[in-house]
Formats: sequence, structure tokens, C-alpha cells
Amino acid sequence: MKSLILILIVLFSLKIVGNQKTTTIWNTGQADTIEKGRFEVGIFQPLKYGFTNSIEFSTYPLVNFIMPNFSIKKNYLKKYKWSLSSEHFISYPTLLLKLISKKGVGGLLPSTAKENIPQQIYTEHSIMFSYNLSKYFIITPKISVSIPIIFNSYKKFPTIDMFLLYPRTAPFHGDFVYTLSLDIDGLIWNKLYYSIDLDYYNNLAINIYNSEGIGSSYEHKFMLIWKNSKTFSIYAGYKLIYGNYPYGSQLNIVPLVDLAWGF
Amino acid sequence: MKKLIFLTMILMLSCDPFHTEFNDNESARYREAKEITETTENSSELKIMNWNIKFGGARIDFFFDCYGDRVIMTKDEVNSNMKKLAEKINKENPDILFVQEADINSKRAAYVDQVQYLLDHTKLNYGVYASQWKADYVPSDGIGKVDTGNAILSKYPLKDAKRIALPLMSSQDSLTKYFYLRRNILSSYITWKNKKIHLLAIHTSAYSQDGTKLKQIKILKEKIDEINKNSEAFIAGGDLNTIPPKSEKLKNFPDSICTDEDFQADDYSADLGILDDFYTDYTPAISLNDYEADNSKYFSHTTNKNGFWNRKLDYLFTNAKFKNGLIHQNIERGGTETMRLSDHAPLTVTFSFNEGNK
Repeated sequence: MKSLILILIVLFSLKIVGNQKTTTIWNTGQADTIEKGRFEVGIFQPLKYGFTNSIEFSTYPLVNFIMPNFSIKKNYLKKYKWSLSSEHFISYPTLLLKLISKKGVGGLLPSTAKENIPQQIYTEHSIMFSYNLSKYFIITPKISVSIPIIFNSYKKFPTIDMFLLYPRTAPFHGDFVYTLSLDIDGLIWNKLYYSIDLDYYNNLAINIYNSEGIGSSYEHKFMLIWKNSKTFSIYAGYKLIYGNYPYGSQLNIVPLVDLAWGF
Repeated sequence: MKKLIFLTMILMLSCDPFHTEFNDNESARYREAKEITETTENSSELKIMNWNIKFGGARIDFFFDCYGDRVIMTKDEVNSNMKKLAEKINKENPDILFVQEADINSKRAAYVDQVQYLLDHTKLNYGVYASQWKADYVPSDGIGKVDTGNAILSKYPLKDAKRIALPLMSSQDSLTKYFYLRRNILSSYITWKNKKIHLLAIHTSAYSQDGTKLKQIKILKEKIDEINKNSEAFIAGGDLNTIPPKSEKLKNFPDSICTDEDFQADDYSADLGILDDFYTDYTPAISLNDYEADNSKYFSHTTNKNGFWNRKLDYLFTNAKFKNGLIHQNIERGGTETMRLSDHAPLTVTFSFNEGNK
């Protein structure tokens, strides 16, 4: 049971509820970075720290024990209603993949897969561009590319053919995956905000690791956010996933709930 | 914080995000062969076959039998094993085939649709299927996506196919239960010589220590009693995961090497008497007298590929007539070395109507 909870934390942290990008406070998808000196953290969201007013560091703290990870977001331009940033994420997933290759509950991969899991580093690089039409409507297109770096010779091990995880773990099998995203965020009323995003995942057709190539996946998320104060906010919504898997296409919906604290 | 994670899990599970659940009664899924083989009703008899095909796993040692650690097969392995199963089925050329453990969309069977495979590679034209284990992802042992269950394949059109849910094991925690097998009776009928023949296929719990299997078998008996009351014919059976009355050995089978309590199916002492009414009220494919005379000729299961069949778990019953019941154990008894094809041996029998059947 403990291992299942641990894995659920990992799965959710791996940008399922994640990708709650920062504004100055409680950013939910824009190019702005968190303000200097501020920390924000959620149950399923990363711990973010405003290093300067244009550089933000973040990491998934609990996941670090099994998948060391770090992200840096840099804002290059913030003028009038425009904001431009890039974000660079790096992690070491080998340990996590070996941990979930096990017998019994929590075994997302067969125990026999362990010996084929290579030493590797996963990197993801994004560019996002926000246009702030009004406080009710901020639109952010974003493009991301996942670049796997696999050290020893790659041997095939089973893919995780599960909604949400399939496109996100494809780079661990040598796939270069790109993501096109569109986020729309804004105020509804008082302290209640909304966040809508659309994501499209697909394979970049770069095949240096002899990977099989993932199928495309579409995701849509809707969240209502109660920004209670500068120190506490609540998130609730859903994620809709239409994915193409090795067995065919499928539609899934999952509810999302999160709490976040800032200080 | 732990409470919050728990609440989130409950919320997720309450919405059935992994699609594991079924209604108590729902329609089964229909399939058809790519090419329909023309069938006539000239004969006065039908050949019926039952086979637990172990999801095309043949004699690969999977983790749940405790002989090996395999979880997933390659597509080549599955197709090669399915080809051998289809060869045996074609050799017997049944009119109706009951299948247990047919995977239609499982990671472990390389997503090969085994019901469709058998329809496309035999003379059977029509199929109905009911899942007994379905989940978008089973987060245990690397099983992943699974959709496996009971099927009935027939040369004649199958009608009114239903999946009737059977009781779930009560001894499991709720998380295990959510992802676990959901046993069922697959019910359908064909019309042959202007009469209905009801077909009821079942695969009961293998590892239940809590009386669930007995409840499931009792429900099958109730269903066939209802049909019998109307004087309509039925053929019912499958893998009942229990041994017949008059069995000499009830426990401690030499091939049962699992020490994990969850995978032990080695003691049938508690099942004594559960099939008595089936034998008393109806006609079995293998008569009790024959079985009593020599249990071993009718054994149909072993988990040890290097051993031999050591218990009978597979059955067919009717309220009409059966003759020539045979467990296809090897070359001498059935003409094929079936030990290498599955962990169950196929059963065949010849069916004809009783005068009393409407």
C-alpha cells in the first residue's frame, strides 16, 4: 500500500496536475516567473522558488528521492501585455523505472524489465509566450521538446501503456516527444480563477535509439482555483485524455484536486 | 497529508478511472469471422468443445503459477501459440466452442484479439465475449492493460448474449478488489433444428478461500434450473475450478508450488458436494461412473509443464443428451499432445436433443 501511495505521488507529480506554471503569485500557466524570494508548493505541484524576478527554480521534492529532478524557468521579456519565457527540466529516471519494475502492487513494469532499464537522463525544454488581454483572459501558447539521453546501449523494456503516463514515459524508451500546448487562464469572480489547457503530444520522428515511436495523445484540463490568500490556494477540476496507445485509442477522464501553499 | 492523498485516491477510484467495473447484467460483445463458413443442419448431432486456453500462453511459465516470472508475451509467441490452438480446434471441428481465458486486448498477450483470431482461423463463424478481468491498467506485477474473459464461438448465429455478474471475493481489500477479476456467466443461445439451445459459459474463482466459488456455482445451477423448467435445452459449463464428486485426491497436488496464499488453489476439501446436484439433475459430458472407475483418464489441468494432467476442473452439462465425452489428454486420448498447448486440456462431447426439449 505504501509503495502504491508513493507511486501515485510520483505519477501525479510528473506533470499530471503539475505544469501549474507561475505568475507573480499562484501562476497557473503563464510565462511569468514567481516573484523573487517567494516559495510555492502543492501536494502534487512542484516546489517553486523565485531566485530573481526573472528566474525561477522548481523541483518535485518528494520525487527527488527516487527521481532527482530540477527545473529552471527564465523570463526574457515582460513588456506591456506580453511575456516570454523558457523552461528547462532535467531528471534522472533510471532509479524510478527500476523501482516500479517489481512484483506485486506498484509494479507498473514486470520485475524482469529491471535488467533492461538503461542509465539515462531525461530533459525537457519549453518556450512559452503569454498575452494578457485582461485579468479575465490570459492566453499562453507553448511548445516543448523532450530529449532523452541514454548512456549504455538501449535494450527494449515494456512501455507503460496507460493514459497520462504513456506519452510522458515515451522518452524513457528513446522517443523524442514534442508537446504543443495552449493555456487560457483568468479571473472568474472575487478569488475564484479558472485555468484551461489543451496539450498535444507526438513523436518527433528522431530515431537514434531505435525506439518504436509513440502514438499521439490529446489532453484537456479544466481547473477552478480558489486563491484564498497569498499563502493558500485550492485546485479542483478534471483532465480529459484521448490517447493513441499500442492497443488502439481510448478516452479517459480523471478528477484533479490539489492544495498549494505559498510563503 | 496522508489523509489528503487517500481522499484523492478514493475520488479517483469512485469514478472508475481504470474502467474495471460492470453492471450486474449487461450485453456481451458480439464478433464474427472475417469469412463466414456456410453451415447446414443436416446432422442430428452437434459437437461441443470446451477449452481454457490460458490466454494463448501455452506452457510459458507465468508468475502466478510460481514456476517462472513471465508477465508479458511477444506477438510472435502469442500468434504461434494461437495457431496451435486453432489447429487442434480445426481437427475436432466443433459446432460450438466454449473458451475460458481468451484475451481480447491485453498487454500480456501483445494485444492480440484471441476471440477474433479463433473465429478467423477456424470454421466457427460467430462469437460472443464477456470480460472477467478488465482494466485500463493493473498497477501490479507489470500486468498493465488487461481484457480477458469467457467466449462462446459457434457455427450458428448466437443471440441475446448477456454477461451475468457473479459475486466478487469478499476477503480482499477494496483496492485489490477494484483491480481484480470479476467472474461472470456468459449466456446466449442458438436456434438449431427450430429449437433453442441455451449456452452458459462460466469460469469460477480459482483462488477463493471465502466460499465465493461455491456461490458462483450455485448461481449457475439456478440459471440452468430456470431453463430446464421451461423444457428448453441447455449446454452449460466451463472451468469450474473444482473437482468432481468421487475424486480420490482432494488436496496437496504435486504441481501446486505457490506459497503465496493468494495463488493457492490446492485444497478442494471445502468444495465437496457442490457439484452433486449437477450430476443428479443433468447429464455430464463425463459420467460419474466413468470418472469413478479411473479418475486419471479425465484429468484436465496441471500447472507443471513437465508433469501431466492431475485433476479435473473442466465440465459440460446438459438437460438433453450427451455422448462420447472425451478429455483430450494426449495422442492416445484425443490424438494431440495437448499438454504443450495450455494448462487445461480440451473437452469434447456430442450433443443431441431429448424428446422432451422444446
